[in-house]
Amino acid sequence: MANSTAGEQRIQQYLKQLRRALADLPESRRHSIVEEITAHIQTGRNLLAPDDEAGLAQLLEDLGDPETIRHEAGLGPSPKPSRFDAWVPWLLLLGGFAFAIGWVVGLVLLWRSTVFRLRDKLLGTFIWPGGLFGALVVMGLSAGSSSCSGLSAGPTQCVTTGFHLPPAIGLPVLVLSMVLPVLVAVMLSRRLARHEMWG
Amino acid sequence: MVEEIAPAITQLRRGAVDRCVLALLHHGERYGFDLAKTLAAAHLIAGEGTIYPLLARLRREGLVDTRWRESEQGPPRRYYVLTASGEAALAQFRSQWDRFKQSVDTILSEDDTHGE
Repeated sequence: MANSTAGEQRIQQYLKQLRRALADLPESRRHSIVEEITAHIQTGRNLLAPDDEAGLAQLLEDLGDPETIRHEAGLGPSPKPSRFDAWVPWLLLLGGFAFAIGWVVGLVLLWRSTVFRLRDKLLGTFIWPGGLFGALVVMGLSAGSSSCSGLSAGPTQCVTTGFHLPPAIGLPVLVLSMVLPVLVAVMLSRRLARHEMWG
Repeated sequence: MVEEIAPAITQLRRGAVDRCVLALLHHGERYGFDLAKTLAAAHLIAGEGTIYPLLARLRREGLVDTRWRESEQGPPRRYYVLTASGEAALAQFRSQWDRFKQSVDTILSEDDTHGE
Protein backbone atom coordinates (compact mmCIF):
# COMPACT_ATOMS: atom_id res chain seq x y z
CA MET A 1 0.00 0.00 0.00
CA ALA A 2 1.43 3.34 -1.05
CA ASN A 3 2.08 5.67 1.81
CA SER A 4 4.46 8.34 0.54
CA THR A 5 3.75 11.61 2.31
CA ALA A 6 4.00 13.64 -0.90
CA GLY A 7 1.37 11.36 -2.41
CA GLU A 8 -0.80 11.67 0.69
CA GLN A 9 -0.54 15.46 0.53
CA ARG A 10 -1.58 15.46 -3.09
CA ILE A 11 -4.63 13.40 -2.27
CA GLN A 12 -5.60 15.64 0.65
CA GLN A 13 -5.17 18.67 -1.59
CA TYR A 14 -7.50 17.16 -4.18
CA LEU A 15 -10.12 16.23 -1.57
CA LYS A 16 -9.93 19.75 -0.12
CA GLN A 17 -10.61 21.25 -3.56
CA LEU A 18 -13.43 18.79 -4.02
CA ARG A 19 -15.07 19.70 -0.72
CA ARG A 20 -14.87 23.36 -1.65
CA ALA A 21 -16.38 22.76 -5.07
CA LEU A 22 -19.26 20.86 -3.47
CA ALA A 23 -19.74 23.32 -0.59
CA ASP A 24 -23.16 24.37 -1.89
CA LEU A 25 -24.56 20.85 -1.66
CA PRO A 26 -26.52 19.69 1.40
CA GLU A 27 -24.00 18.30 3.86
CA SER A 28 -25.06 14.65 3.74
CA ARG A 29 -24.89 14.61 -0.04
CA ARG A 30 -21.50 16.26 -0.13
CA HIS A 31 -20.19 13.93 2.54
CA SER A 32 -21.42 10.88 0.66
CA ILE A 33 -19.78 11.90 -2.63
CA VAL A 34 -16.48 12.82 -0.96
CA GLU A 35 -16.50 9.54 0.96
CA GLU A 36 -17.03 7.53 -2.23
CA ILE A 37 -14.33 9.38 -4.10
CA THR A 38 -11.95 8.86 -1.18
CA ALA A 39 -12.69 5.12 -1.37
CA HIS A 40 -12.15 5.27 -5.15
CA ILE A 41 -8.72 6.83 -4.63
CA GLN A 42 -7.79 4.19 -2.06
CA THR A 43 -8.85 1.40 -4.39
CA GLY A 44 -6.85 2.91 -7.21
CA ARG A 45 -3.83 3.43 -5.02
CA ASN A 46 -3.82 -0.18 -3.89
CA LEU A 47 -3.30 -1.18 -7.51
CA LEU A 48 -0.20 0.99 -7.82
CA ALA A 49 3.35 0.39 -6.65
CA PRO A 50 4.09 2.19 -3.35
CA ASP A 51 6.31 4.88 -4.92
CA ASP A 52 4.38 5.34 -8.12
CA GLU A 53 3.91 9.13 -8.08
CA ALA A 54 3.12 9.30 -11.78
CA GLY A 55 0.47 6.63 -11.32
CA LEU A 56 -1.12 8.58 -8.49
CA ALA A 57 -1.07 11.78 -10.56
CA GLN A 58 -2.80 9.90 -13.38
CA LEU A 59 -5.37 8.49 -10.96
CA LEU A 60 -6.30 11.96 -9.75
CA GLU A 61 -6.36 13.31 -13.29
CA ASP A 62 -8.65 10.49 -14.39
CA LEU A 63 -11.00 11.38 -11.54
CA GLY A 64 -11.41 14.78 -13.15
CA ASP A 65 -11.54 18.37 -12.14
CA PRO A 66 -13.67 19.07 -9.00
CA GLU A 67 -15.59 21.66 -11.06
CA THR A 68 -16.72 18.91 -13.45
CA ILE A 69 -17.91 16.81 -10.52
CA ARG A 70 -19.69 19.86 -9.16
CA HIS A 71 -21.40 20.27 -12.52
CA GLU A 72 -22.54 16.65 -12.52
CA ALA A 73 -23.96 17.17 -9.03
CA GLY A 74 -26.31 19.70 -10.62
CA LEU A 75 -24.70 22.84 -9.32
CA GLY A 76 -23.96 25.87 -11.46
CA PRO A 77 -20.37 27.01 -11.84
CA SER A 78 -18.60 28.04 -8.64
CA PRO A 79 -19.30 31.66 -7.77
CA LYS A 80 -16.67 33.94 -9.18
CA PRO A 81 -15.89 37.18 -7.43
CA SER A 82 -17.30 40.19 -9.22
CA ARG A 83 -14.85 43.00 -9.75
CA PHE A 84 -16.55 44.99 -7.02
CA ASP A 85 -16.15 42.31 -4.38
CA ALA A 86 -12.58 43.37 -3.62
CA TRP A 87 -13.86 46.77 -2.48
CA VAL A 88 -16.29 45.36 0.06
CA PRO A 89 -14.01 44.86 3.08
CA TRP A 90 -12.53 48.36 2.76
CA LEU A 91 -15.78 50.16 2.02
CA LEU A 92 -17.30 48.60 5.11
CA LEU A 93 -14.32 49.52 7.26
CA LEU A 94 -13.55 53.03 6.04
CA GLY A 95 -16.44 54.02 3.77
CA GLY A 96 -18.29 55.58 6.66
CA PHE A 97 -15.82 58.43 6.56
CA ALA A 98 -17.11 59.35 3.10
CA PHE A 99 -20.34 60.79 4.49
CA ALA A 100 -21.49 57.27 5.46
CA ILE A 101 -22.38 56.61 1.78
CA GLY A 102 -19.22 54.58 1.34
CA TRP A 103 -20.34 52.18 4.06
CA VAL A 104 -23.82 51.87 2.57
CA VAL A 105 -22.34 51.08 -0.87
CA GLY A 106 -20.08 48.49 0.76
CA LEU A 107 -23.11 46.96 2.47
CA VAL A 108 -25.09 46.69 -0.77
CA LEU A 109 -22.14 45.08 -2.60
CA LEU A 110 -21.63 42.70 0.33
CA TRP A 111 -25.18 41.39 0.20
CA ARG A 112 -25.25 41.16 -3.60
CA SER A 113 -22.02 39.18 -3.74
CA THR A 114 -22.11 35.48 -4.56
CA VAL A 115 -18.74 34.90 -2.98
CA PHE A 116 -19.49 35.82 0.62
CA ARG A 117 -21.49 33.38 2.73
CA LEU A 118 -24.37 34.35 5.00
CA ARG A 119 -22.14 34.32 8.06
CA ASP A 120 -19.71 36.74 6.36
CA LYS A 121 -22.60 38.99 5.40
CA LEU A 122 -24.02 39.11 8.90
CA LEU A 123 -20.63 39.81 10.46
CA GLY A 124 -19.90 42.47 7.87
CA THR A 125 -23.21 44.18 8.57
CA PHE A 126 -23.26 44.11 12.34
CA ILE A 127 -19.59 44.60 13.24
CA TRP A 128 -20.11 47.51 13.18
CA PRO A 129 -22.69 49.52 11.29
CA GLY A 130 -20.73 52.40 9.87
CA GLY A 131 -17.39 50.63 10.19
CA LEU A 132 -14.66 52.53 11.99
CA PHE A 133 -16.51 55.78 11.45
CA GLY A 134 -19.61 54.38 13.13
CA ALA A 135 -17.52 53.10 16.04
CA LEU A 136 -15.94 56.51 16.51
CA VAL A 137 -19.32 58.23 16.43
CA VAL A 138 -20.75 55.91 19.07
CA MET A 139 -17.66 56.24 21.23
CA GLY A 140 -17.82 60.03 20.86
CA LEU A 141 -21.48 60.18 21.80
CA SER A 142 -21.14 57.91 24.77
CA ALA A 143 -17.85 59.25 26.07
CA GLY A 144 -19.76 62.02 27.66
CA SER A 145 -19.19 65.70 27.72
CA SER A 146 -19.81 68.45 30.12
CA SER A 147 -21.00 71.79 29.13
CA CYS A 148 -20.80 74.43 31.68
CA SER A 149 -22.51 77.72 31.56
CA GLY A 150 -23.01 80.49 33.91
CA LEU A 151 -21.87 83.97 34.74
CA SER A 152 -18.26 84.26 35.58
CA ALA A 153 -19.13 85.72 38.94
CA GLY A 154 -21.91 83.34 39.81
CA PRO A 155 -22.19 79.64 40.26
CA THR A 156 -21.52 77.66 37.17
CA GLN A 157 -23.90 75.00 36.16
CA CYS A 158 -22.53 72.01 34.43
CA VAL A 159 -24.59 69.62 32.44
CA THR A 160 -23.10 66.30 31.72
CA THR A 161 -24.34 64.21 28.84
CA GLY A 162 -23.50 60.68 27.96
CA PHE A 163 -21.75 58.54 30.46
CA HIS A 164 -18.25 58.23 31.63
CA LEU A 165 -16.67 54.85 31.44
CA PRO A 166 -13.91 54.28 33.90
CA PRO A 167 -10.65 53.94 31.95
CA ALA A 168 -10.27 50.33 33.02
CA ILE A 169 -13.40 49.51 31.01
CA GLY A 170 -13.42 52.37 28.57
CA LEU A 171 -10.02 51.70 27.12
CA PRO A 172 -10.53 48.03 26.25
CA VAL A 173 -13.95 48.90 24.84
CA LEU A 174 -12.35 51.56 22.67
CA VAL A 175 -9.65 49.19 21.48
CA LEU A 176 -12.16 46.41 20.77
CA SER A 177 -14.48 48.69 18.88
CA MET A 178 -11.57 49.69 16.62
CA VAL A 179 -10.01 46.27 16.29
CA LEU A 180 -13.11 44.13 15.63
CA PRO A 181 -14.17 45.80 12.38
CA VAL A 182 -10.57 45.57 11.16
CA LEU A 183 -10.59 41.84 11.89
CA VAL A 184 -13.87 41.48 10.01
CA ALA A 185 -12.40 43.37 7.02
CA VAL A 186 -9.37 41.07 7.06
CA MET A 187 -11.61 37.97 7.23
CA LEU A 188 -13.65 39.17 4.26
CA SER A 189 -10.50 39.80 2.20
CA ARG A 190 -9.22 36.35 3.00
CA ARG A 191 -12.51 34.83 1.86
CA LEU A 192 -11.98 36.63 -1.46
CA ALA A 193 -8.36 35.53 -1.72
CA ARG A 194 -9.38 31.90 -1.19
CA HIS A 195 -11.95 32.18 -3.95
CA GLU A 196 -9.30 33.51 -6.33
CA MET A 197 -7.17 30.49 -5.58
CA TRP A 198 -9.71 27.75 -5.76
CA GLY A 199 -12.59 29.24 -7.77
CA MET B 1 -5.15 14.53 -32.23
CA VAL B 2 -8.07 14.99 -29.87
CA GLU B 3 -11.33 15.08 -31.71
CA GLU B 4 -13.71 17.78 -30.60
CA ILE B 5 -17.03 16.32 -29.50
CA ALA B 6 -20.08 17.95 -31.07
CA PRO B 7 -22.51 19.52 -28.57
CA ALA B 8 -25.22 17.20 -29.91
CA ILE B 9 -23.22 14.14 -28.92
CA THR B 10 -22.39 15.62 -25.51
CA GLN B 11 -26.09 16.09 -24.88
CA LEU B 12 -26.90 12.58 -26.06
CA ARG B 13 -24.21 11.23 -23.78
CA ARG B 14 -25.66 13.04 -20.81
CA GLY B 15 -29.09 11.65 -21.56
CA ALA B 16 -27.89 8.07 -22.05
CA VAL B 17 -25.16 7.61 -19.47
CA ASP B 18 -27.32 7.00 -16.44
CA ARG B 19 -29.28 4.39 -18.40
CA CYS B 20 -25.95 2.83 -19.35
CA VAL B 21 -25.16 2.55 -15.63
CA LEU B 22 -28.45 0.69 -15.18
CA ALA B 23 -27.49 -1.61 -18.06
CA LEU B 24 -24.10 -2.34 -16.47
CA LEU B 25 -25.85 -3.31 -13.26
CA HIS B 26 -28.40 -5.48 -15.02
CA HIS B 27 -26.20 -8.57 -14.83
CA GLY B 28 -25.15 -8.13 -11.23
CA GLU B 29 -23.94 -5.73 -8.59
CA ARG B 30 -20.78 -3.71 -9.17
CA TYR B 31 -18.76 -1.23 -7.15
CA GLY B 32 -18.11 2.42 -7.99
CA PHE B 33 -14.50 2.14 -9.06
CA ASP B 34 -15.33 -0.62 -11.51
CA LEU B 35 -18.30 1.28 -13.02
CA ALA B 36 -16.18 4.42 -13.32
CA LYS B 37 -13.40 2.62 -15.19
CA THR B 38 -15.84 0.90 -17.57
CA LEU B 39 -17.69 4.09 -18.46
CA ALA B 40 -14.48 6.12 -18.83
CA ALA B 41 -13.04 3.49 -21.18
CA ALA B 42 -16.21 3.80 -23.27
CA HIS B 43 -15.78 7.61 -23.27
CA LEU B 44 -19.21 8.04 -21.74
CA ILE B 45 -18.14 10.15 -18.76
CA ALA B 46 -16.00 13.28 -18.61
CA GLY B 47 -14.06 12.29 -15.48
CA GLU B 48 -14.30 9.15 -13.38
CA GLY B 49 -15.37 11.20 -10.37
CA THR B 50 -18.59 12.25 -12.10
CA ILE B 51 -19.98 8.75 -11.66
CA TYR B 52 -20.48 9.37 -7.94
CA PRO B 53 -22.98 12.27 -8.09
CA LEU B 54 -24.69 10.30 -10.87
CA LEU B 55 -24.97 7.18 -8.70
CA ALA B 56 -26.20 9.33 -5.81
CA ARG B 57 -28.94 10.67 -8.05
CA LEU B 58 -29.97 7.18 -9.20
CA ARG B 59 -30.18 6.18 -5.55
CA ARG B 60 -32.39 9.14 -4.73
CA GLU B 61 -34.63 8.22 -7.64
CA GLY B 62 -34.90 4.69 -6.29
CA LEU B 63 -33.40 3.09 -9.39
CA VAL B 64 -30.36 1.64 -7.62
CA ASP B 65 -29.57 0.52 -4.13
CA THR B 66 -26.29 -0.13 -2.30
CA ARG B 67 -24.79 -3.04 -0.38
CA TRP B 68 -21.62 -3.21 1.65
CA ARG B 69 -19.36 -6.16 1.01
CA GLU B 70 -16.13 -7.24 2.66
CA SER B 71 -13.09 -6.92 0.44
CA GLU B 72 -9.79 -8.81 0.54
CA GLN B 73 -7.98 -5.73 -0.66
CA GLY B 74 -8.90 -3.50 2.25
CA PRO B 75 -11.94 -1.84 3.84
CA PRO B 76 -15.51 -2.95 2.93
CA ARG B 77 -16.73 -1.77 -0.44
CA ARG B 78 -20.03 -0.28 -1.44
CA TYR B 79 -21.68 -2.20 -4.27
CA TYR B 80 -24.50 -0.89 -6.42
CA VAL B 81 -27.45 -3.04 -7.37
CA LEU B 82 -30.49 -2.46 -9.59
CA THR B 83 -33.90 -2.14 -7.93
CA ALA B 84 -37.18 -3.26 -9.51
CA SER B 85 -37.81 0.34 -10.61
CA GLY B 86 -34.33 0.39 -12.09
CA GLU B 87 -35.05 -2.75 -14.11
CA ALA B 88 -38.29 -1.24 -15.39
CA ALA B 89 -36.58 2.06 -16.32
CA LEU B 90 -33.86 0.13 -18.16
CA ALA B 91 -36.39 -1.96 -20.12
CA GLN B 92 -38.29 1.17 -21.11
CA PHE B 93 -35.10 2.90 -22.19
CA ARG B 94 -34.01 -0.09 -24.29
CA SER B 95 -37.18 -0.09 -26.39
CA GLN B 96 -37.26 3.69 -26.79
CA TRP B 97 -33.57 3.79 -27.61
CA ASP B 98 -33.99 1.15 -30.33
CA ARG B 99 -36.72 3.21 -31.97
CA PHE B 100 -34.76 6.43 -31.62
CA LYS B 101 -31.60 4.84 -33.00
CA GLN B 102 -33.48 3.41 -35.96
CA SER B 103 -35.10 6.76 -36.77
CA VAL B 104 -31.79 8.60 -36.66
CA ASP B 105 -30.04 5.90 -38.70
CA THR B 106 -32.78 5.96 -41.32
CA ILE B 107 -32.60 9.70 -41.77
CA LEU B 108 -28.79 9.74 -41.78
CA SER B 109 -28.67 7.02 -44.46
CA GLU B 110 -31.29 8.81 -46.57
CA ASP B 111 -29.14 11.85 -46.42
CA ASP B 112 -26.18 9.73 -47.56
CA THR B 113 -28.01 8.40 -50.60
CA HIS B 114 -29.19 11.86 -51.59
CA GLY B 115 -25.67 13.13 -51.38
CA GLU B 116 -24.34 10.64 -53.91
